[in-house]
Amino acid sequence: MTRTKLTTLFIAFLLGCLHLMAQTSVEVSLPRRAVAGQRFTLTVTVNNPDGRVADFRGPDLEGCTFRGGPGVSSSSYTQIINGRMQSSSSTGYTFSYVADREGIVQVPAITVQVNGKSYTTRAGQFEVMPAPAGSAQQTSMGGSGSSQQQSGARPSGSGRDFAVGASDLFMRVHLSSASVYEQQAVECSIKLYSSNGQVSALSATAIPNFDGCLIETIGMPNTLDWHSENVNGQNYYTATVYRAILYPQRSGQIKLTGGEYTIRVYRQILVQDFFMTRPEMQEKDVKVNPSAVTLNVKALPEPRPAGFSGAVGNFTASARLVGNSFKTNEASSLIYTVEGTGNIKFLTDPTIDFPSEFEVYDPSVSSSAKVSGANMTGTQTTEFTFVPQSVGKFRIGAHDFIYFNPSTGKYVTVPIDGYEIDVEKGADVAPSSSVSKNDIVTKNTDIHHIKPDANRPGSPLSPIAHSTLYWLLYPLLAIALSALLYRVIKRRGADLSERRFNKAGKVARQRLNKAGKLLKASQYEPFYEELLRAMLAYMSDKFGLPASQLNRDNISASLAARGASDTLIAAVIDIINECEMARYTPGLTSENADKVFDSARDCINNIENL
Amino acid sequence: MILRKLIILLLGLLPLMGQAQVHEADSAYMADDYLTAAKLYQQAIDSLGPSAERYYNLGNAYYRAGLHGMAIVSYERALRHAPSNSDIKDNLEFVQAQNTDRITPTSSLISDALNSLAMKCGGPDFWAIFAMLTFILALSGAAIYFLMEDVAWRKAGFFGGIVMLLLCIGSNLLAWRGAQLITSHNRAIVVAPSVILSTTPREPKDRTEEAMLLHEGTPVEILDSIPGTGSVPYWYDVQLDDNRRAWAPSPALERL
Repeated sequence: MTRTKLTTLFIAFLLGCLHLMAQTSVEVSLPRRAVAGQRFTLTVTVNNPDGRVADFRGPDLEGCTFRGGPGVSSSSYTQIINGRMQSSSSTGYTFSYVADREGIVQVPAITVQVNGKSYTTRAGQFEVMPAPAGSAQQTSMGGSGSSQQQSGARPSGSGRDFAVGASDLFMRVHLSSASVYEQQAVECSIKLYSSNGQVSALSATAIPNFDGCLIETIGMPNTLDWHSENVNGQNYYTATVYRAILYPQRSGQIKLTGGEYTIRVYRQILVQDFFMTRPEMQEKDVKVNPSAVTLNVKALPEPRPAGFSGAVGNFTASARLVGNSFKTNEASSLIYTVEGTGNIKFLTDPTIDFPSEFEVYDPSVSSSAKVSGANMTGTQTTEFTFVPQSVGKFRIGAHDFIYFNPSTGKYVTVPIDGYEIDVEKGADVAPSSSVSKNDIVTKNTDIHHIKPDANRPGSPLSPIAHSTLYWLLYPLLAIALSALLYRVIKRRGADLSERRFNKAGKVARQRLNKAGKLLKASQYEPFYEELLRAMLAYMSDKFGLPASQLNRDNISASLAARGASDTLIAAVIDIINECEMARYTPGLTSENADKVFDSARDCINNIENL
Repeated sequence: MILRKLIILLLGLLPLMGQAQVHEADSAYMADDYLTAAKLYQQAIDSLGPSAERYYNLGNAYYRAGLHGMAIVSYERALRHAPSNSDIKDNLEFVQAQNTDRITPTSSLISDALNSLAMKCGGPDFWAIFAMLTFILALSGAAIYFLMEDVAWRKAGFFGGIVMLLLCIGSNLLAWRGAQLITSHNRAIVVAPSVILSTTPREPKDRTEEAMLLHEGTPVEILDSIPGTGSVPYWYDVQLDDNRRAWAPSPALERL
């Protein structure tokens, strides 16, 4: 019972652990170190073969002689994690060659048939180092870091210390370019050179000093990745221990020092003791200072164009508005993107010219960049969020992106057009019954424009109040008017006496008629009075005599001057006397009055007819 | 004979040259070449004679070229030719608002009011013509008084004439005052970016001889001048609008 149960459980376990084998793949590992005249190996590894691997030949490499292979080695690996089994296996096919000469060797793609399917490795290349000067043929220059102790200078078994020459172990600071522009990226790497590759550990005890530069450090693997390099005719194992992209911030000479590293080196010696010869490891810490280098930084050419973004490299820029309809009190955004290679992480934020009717929030900037070669490539995205506050047509100003291209040495302008946008009425923030009204806001004022074609001839200032003629005009006008008035008044006086003269007879007859009515009514006293007044007024009007000069002599003289006969003069004087006397005489009779009245009428008629 | 013809021809060409200069100056102004525009407007003023519009344009060009003080000088000169032109007044006020120095004038209210009234409506010439018209009306009043027989007419003529005569006298005073103001050469504007006035008519020898610091655009009244030496042809005894007095070197000022 228990046994069957256990068996089922085991089968269930096995079934549960059934899994697909991992994906089949083929890769080639190139030799880490190849020296002219020496052997090297090329290994093709088939991972997780799901069937039989067809035989295949090692590739033909130019400049190398095929020596043998493949040597086949297999490994498999199984692990169970939380009940899931993972297994992997790999088979390595190692071909050996001898490098005939130094130079770059191209490795073509190798095709391997696995279970009838073809898998192809990537093509690659590696460098064959020149043969070391004057050295004997060395053996075992394989990919592993260990190598046999070189002959000569064999330390004694008892000595724990051993000398490491400056040419055996040193570090160098490398720059991708010795002369760059301000803000132009330069790759800086610190490389360790070891003549034998016998380095077991490395730690930085002083950090590199790159004052005057912004640093973008590139992460390095923890293990040393050895390569080979020929320096001054000597072959070295080299490993890059530090990489960074530097952006110089000022022009001039910038000295870059690589800090200090503590390197643990070891050697293997054969110790001859009493019974046998056995290998022993000796270790030692060595402090190494990478050599300093000087970076020559050129200033960006002047004049810098207005609106220069500070970008140095090769970029494209674009802007786009999110959405195509805009409403008041509704947020929209403008996304401004700069893409390219260069100091993308250190750009100044663009300033977009928004109308003041928009409420604009602080832009959110995000940038993503990764190292590509000796520079950084990526995008910087700036998102401006704005809320239109008024209805109308508005313009978001153009903002050209200007960067400096160090390869051409010129500033480049990427034009980015502005946007014309129509803002429609959106929902009111606070619903109100009345129509909301805005005050008109003056944005800017300036002087008024020039008046074109101001080419009417002008003259120097001469105010009217400073001219003599003007002041002369006053007395002249006054004199002219006075003269005019004098003449008018004088003539009018003459006119008046003439008129009176013409009207005199008429007036006198009217008064005589009035006196005649009084006579018929037998009112003698008023009759004489009226008659006298009529006679005197007639004389006054006729001869232009004022009342004060109206005496008998004057009247006689005037009548005589007009050519009146003596009898007529006597009759006039008689009438006046009669009238004056009658005023003081009581008991007047109608007979006398009739006579005087007739005489007066005759006299006036006679004088009128003169 | 030929020479005379040539001179007449040249005199006839002068206004044409001026018109071309005005046109070129307008173009230069529109092309943002303000210094050239200012130079050409000045030449046009020299050849065509001064006019409010040309001084106004010159002021605009100076302002755009950053010559703040000269802009104020030009606007003031333009205003003398057209004392009630609102464009000139607006621009002058706009530029004066950017003056660094603030002065609180201490002149009396009445004289200020009279001065501004003298520049109203069209300036001194308007007042002169107005005075002449009121004088003619006063004479008409006298004529009515002397010629009319109707007592009401005679009364109207008499009192009307008196009122017109008083108006005539007042307008003439304004006209005279205004004419004095617009022809005065004692008004000056600081055209140097800044100038240190001294307490004596020479360069201040030490700090104790420094009177005050004036900046571009500040107006002053020149009371007196004495010849100077070296780079300063004259030393002007200047009075600020708040009645403070000091000596200023002539190159720092531009007389209106």
